[in-house]
Amino acid sequence: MRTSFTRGLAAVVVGLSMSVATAAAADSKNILAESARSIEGGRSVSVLVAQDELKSDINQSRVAVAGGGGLLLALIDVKVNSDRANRAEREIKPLRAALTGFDADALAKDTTASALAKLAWFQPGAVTFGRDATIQGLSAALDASAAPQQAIFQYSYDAVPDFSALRVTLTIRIANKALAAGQKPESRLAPKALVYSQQIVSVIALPSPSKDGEENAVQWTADNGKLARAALTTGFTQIGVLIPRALEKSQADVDALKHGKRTGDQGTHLTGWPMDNAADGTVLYDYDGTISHFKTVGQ
Amino acid sequence: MGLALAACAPLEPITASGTFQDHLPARAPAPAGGCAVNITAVADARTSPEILGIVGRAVKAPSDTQAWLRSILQGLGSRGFQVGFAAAPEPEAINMQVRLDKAWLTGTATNKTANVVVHVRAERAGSAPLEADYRGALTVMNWASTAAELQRLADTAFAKALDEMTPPLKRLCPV
Repeated sequence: MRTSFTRGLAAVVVGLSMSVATAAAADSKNILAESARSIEGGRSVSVLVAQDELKSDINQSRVAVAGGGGLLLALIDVKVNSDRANRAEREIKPLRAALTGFDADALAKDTTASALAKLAWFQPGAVTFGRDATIQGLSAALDASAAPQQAIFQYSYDAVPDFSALRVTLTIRIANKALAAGQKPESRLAPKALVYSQQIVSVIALPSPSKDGEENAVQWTADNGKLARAALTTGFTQIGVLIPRALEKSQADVDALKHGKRTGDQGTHLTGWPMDNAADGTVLYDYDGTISHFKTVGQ
Repeated sequence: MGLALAACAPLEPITASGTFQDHLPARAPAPAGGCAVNITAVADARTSPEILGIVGRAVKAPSDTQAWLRSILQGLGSRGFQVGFAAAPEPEAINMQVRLDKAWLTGTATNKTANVVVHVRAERAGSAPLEADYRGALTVMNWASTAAELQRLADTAFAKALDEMTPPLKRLCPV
């Protein structure tokens, strides 16, 4: 039987080696060479938001990893994670209610459109919106594309586990539509097959977060979710500012960044090399190629 | 590694059933002259009505949205109401407009979660109108993302939304 529990065990087995491999491979896919920018026939654009409301997140229990593995420790992880997920869902409920009417889907579409409008070479074609971010859904959308390439802008927005910050994440992928003989359709979206892949994260923190997650959730919820609405809007806006920067950066830009001194933010735990940018806040470029933006809401 | 590869293979999408399975046992219809609810309009305001969520696999929404939502609202019958669907308001009934704003199933760590938001506008002659959002939410352990598990998850979330709207609707019933 294929279970979430089985998947958890599998993740424990392969997780560490995968993360090392991902970090090593990421850089090569998040540079779109100048020669690859323009493509005959242009690119269709797919905007994805695979959620209906603000998501919760938890700090995953790592007892099995720390303890060297084993079924008993894995079971402890499952129970701890389940309890944490239950608690996070309970704490986020008032915040979701306070965000009624907040249209993150529209923000995702507008963010993408306004960013691409600044990149004449991108040749954006028809823009579609959807929620199906499964590999089968992405592959079907690629099949339906009239262009030879599709750019997928997949957004998510959530609260960090202790509710001290809200986070907007964008994953950009560019995939070729063409399918070689004998190739499985979904393999076009495998990381190694992508033309381009980049993650951008914007983390907007509370000015005075408590150590208690529930108290932080109350701060975001107050006044009809005023701070949460401002934070999420800022997150989408700043990601929009960073999309052109991400798509136009060169290997030379990245190499130059890496000659600088790494820095970080204690509150958000983000680390990386500072990037020059037009964003409002601090922007870092990390080992795995992720571009992270952070600022405090209202400041 | 074989275990990992098998575990990570994508699961095929499923389509949710258009027939609501309540967590309350079906009851005999409320007696004539009891509290009647006439649902004059049912709307689906979700941005992507074709999909209900992703829990290890895509869960597609039933193709006939009207029939599905009416099946859910029939669940008010198990909560003591006589349920009808006449487009024209009925003078003795609670006339109600229902809009599905949110419905999403997702996976969080080892759990599966469902959240639905149903907007209701209801009024009965002589009573103050009622307008509110009713939420149904549920987080439980995800075992295998089977069709039956995910169907139960969605149905239970909708049942909880019906549970939540029942007391305020009852207050509109004739005394």
